Amino acid sequence: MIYLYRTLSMLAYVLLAPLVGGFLAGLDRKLSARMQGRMGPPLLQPFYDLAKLFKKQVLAVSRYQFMMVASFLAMVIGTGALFFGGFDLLLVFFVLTTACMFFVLAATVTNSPYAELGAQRELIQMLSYEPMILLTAVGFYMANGSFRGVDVFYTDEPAIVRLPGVFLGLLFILTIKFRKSPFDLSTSHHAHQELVKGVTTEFSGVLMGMVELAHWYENVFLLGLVALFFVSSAWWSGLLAVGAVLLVWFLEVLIDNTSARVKWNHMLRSAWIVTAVCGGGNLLVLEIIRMLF
Amino acid sequence: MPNKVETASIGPAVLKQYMKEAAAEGCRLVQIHANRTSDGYQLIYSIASGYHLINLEMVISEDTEVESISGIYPAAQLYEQEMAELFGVRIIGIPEDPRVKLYHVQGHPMK
Amino acid sequence: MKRTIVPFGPQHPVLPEPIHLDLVLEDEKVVEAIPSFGFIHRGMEDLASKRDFNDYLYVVERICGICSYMHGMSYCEGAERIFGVEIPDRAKYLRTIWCELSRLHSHLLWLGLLADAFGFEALFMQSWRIREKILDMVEDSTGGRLISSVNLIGGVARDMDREMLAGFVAQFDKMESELRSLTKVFLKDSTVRARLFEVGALTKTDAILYGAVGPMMRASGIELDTRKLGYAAYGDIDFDIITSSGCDSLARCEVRIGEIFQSFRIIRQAVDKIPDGEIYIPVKGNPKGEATVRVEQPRGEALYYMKANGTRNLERFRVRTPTFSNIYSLLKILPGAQFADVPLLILTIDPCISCTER
Repeated sequence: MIYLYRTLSMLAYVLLAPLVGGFLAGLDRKLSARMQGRMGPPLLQPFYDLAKLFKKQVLAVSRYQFMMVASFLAMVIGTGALFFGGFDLLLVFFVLTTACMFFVLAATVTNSPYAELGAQRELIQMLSYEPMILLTAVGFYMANGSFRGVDVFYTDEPAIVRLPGVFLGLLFILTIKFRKSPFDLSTSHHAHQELVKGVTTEFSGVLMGMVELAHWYENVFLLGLVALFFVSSAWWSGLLAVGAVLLVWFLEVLIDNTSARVKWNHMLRSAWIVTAVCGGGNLLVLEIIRMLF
Repeated sequence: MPNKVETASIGPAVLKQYMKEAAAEGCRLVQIHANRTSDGYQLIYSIASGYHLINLEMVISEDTEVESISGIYPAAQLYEQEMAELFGVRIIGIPEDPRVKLYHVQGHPMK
Repeated sequence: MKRTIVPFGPQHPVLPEPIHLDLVLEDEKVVEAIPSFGFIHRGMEDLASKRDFNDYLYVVERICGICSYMHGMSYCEGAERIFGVEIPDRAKYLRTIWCELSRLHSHLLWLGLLADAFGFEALFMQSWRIREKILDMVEDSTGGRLISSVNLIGGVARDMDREMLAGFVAQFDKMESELRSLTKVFLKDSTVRARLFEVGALTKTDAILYGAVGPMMRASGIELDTRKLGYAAYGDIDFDIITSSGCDSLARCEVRIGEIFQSFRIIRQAVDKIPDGEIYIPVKGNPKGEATVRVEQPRGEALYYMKANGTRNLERFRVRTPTFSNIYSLLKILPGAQFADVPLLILTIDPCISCTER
């Protein structure tokens, strides 16, 4: 029975994540606009944009580009599917890392100085958030005694009770993953930075559409990761998780609109400090408690 | 009268020395420009100490070579390049540098 | 170490106007910046000797959009000086008010562009929203939003009645309090400070040698503001010269913010003191003689040189705009900066390339 649910969950992710992701993107643009005192585009604008991107002529700079971007999209979908199928968290995270590598490669093969610098910064961003991602997996193991995502449904209390520090650390690096200011260094949502559009400068038409789509899939997966902290065997924990996810999303939009873009060394330093203090501290305390009792 | 401007004349031979002294006294180089006269140019070097502005006028013939003062005031380079490009004033000692190619014009349109 | 050359401009999203820089980078550090200019050179100085001097006024106003008012006014000041006419006092005060309105909208434009350059969209939008109100005022009083064409040789073309002036001043209180909370973010917010503090340092000596003018110079601790020369009605008006000893980008931001509040102060005083009377005296004949005018544009000191020989055309008209003088300071502060700082540094000189290349 549980296998059926897991398969359904994976299918649901593959089919529905673009809808949820696109809707959230629309909500983000509307919310941001209101925070800036503008009207903002229609809620469904991201879908119109995506449809238009797929209709456009493709101008690929390099013939490897399409392959790299397609692999990136496939890997991101794979990451999310594995996650929502309740598989091993470590596996999920390593597939995500591979996906990101394809993204970096797709930018590097274009030979554009902006894309290359963007790719360099993307690598630095990965360097900043990877430790925290790994600590999250380790944290779940220490809290639930298992790396498998599906096992949270057998716990008596949500993981957030034991992992508040890890959760905070994850929140911090989520800003990097969502490509939100202050950490939208490698590519920002609009091309008003020194790198033009950074990693995605040389993508156009379908390629850009695929990157956008992958971004939506990725966002849904990341929000799923947030939800994982709040799910337990109790039925009401689902509601709690949805509430938490929406709150986190709102917080990210708020941070995006109230900060300037920082420089890479600033990002690396702060991400690692937060990882060490929040994530590392939390795990240390868990270990001490485990040894004492 | 506001904006009072003093004028003085100067020869190409003493220009560099004068500018060196001005720079040592902390004067600013406000601008340099050229006027076309019937048989040559009138170059005007404006320097200011505080609010006090002096226009140094230098009348030269078309073939006179004027020494660049960009060694003293680096900012002079752009003004000198402008005069050389638009008027064809012969200024020697502007650093040979592609960076100061200003207008990319054919010939000297204001000569 | 491997060096990469990144072309920056002439078309680049952070650049408001076309200037090209070839940035030589080592990783993300700028080693050298090689500029090239001339994308919008229109030969306007040359045109002066081919057009009627009265018509040329309208050409001068189109040297640049943002600085348009100041260009027109300075041209008229220069011509009036050649003719030896003194314009009516009311016209002088009106010019002062418009000067400061143009300074306000220029500085607010700059604040917005700066916020955009370091990726703070909310701040960018809010700055421009306040600017919009200033532009409305300019439009109400002159009929144009940027290119106002209200100056004439011998005065101004339009008057403002008492109600309009009082209406402007009445709006200032609200704008000032909005601006206070807005500028607090520029000066105090930690992420903004991280981007501006100690970025692009230009020492006092370098500021003089490299020809920095305007807020760029005042942020390096030099107290000099050409408005103190007393053109238009500035001689009768009390205002402070804002300086800072920070020498960095934050200091330049601070100086411009300080100047915004000074502008409000100047307009308030001008509205209180403005006398009744004529706004224009006709000037007849052709000019003969030469004049050098210095004014303080929002971007810094500008110098206009006019030479007339008694015909309908000027013999020579020369504009030295603030950005032309500031470009060398930019080239001085770019090497050694991070690539991420480049847009900021270009913006801290408040570049106006249309003015520069004329």
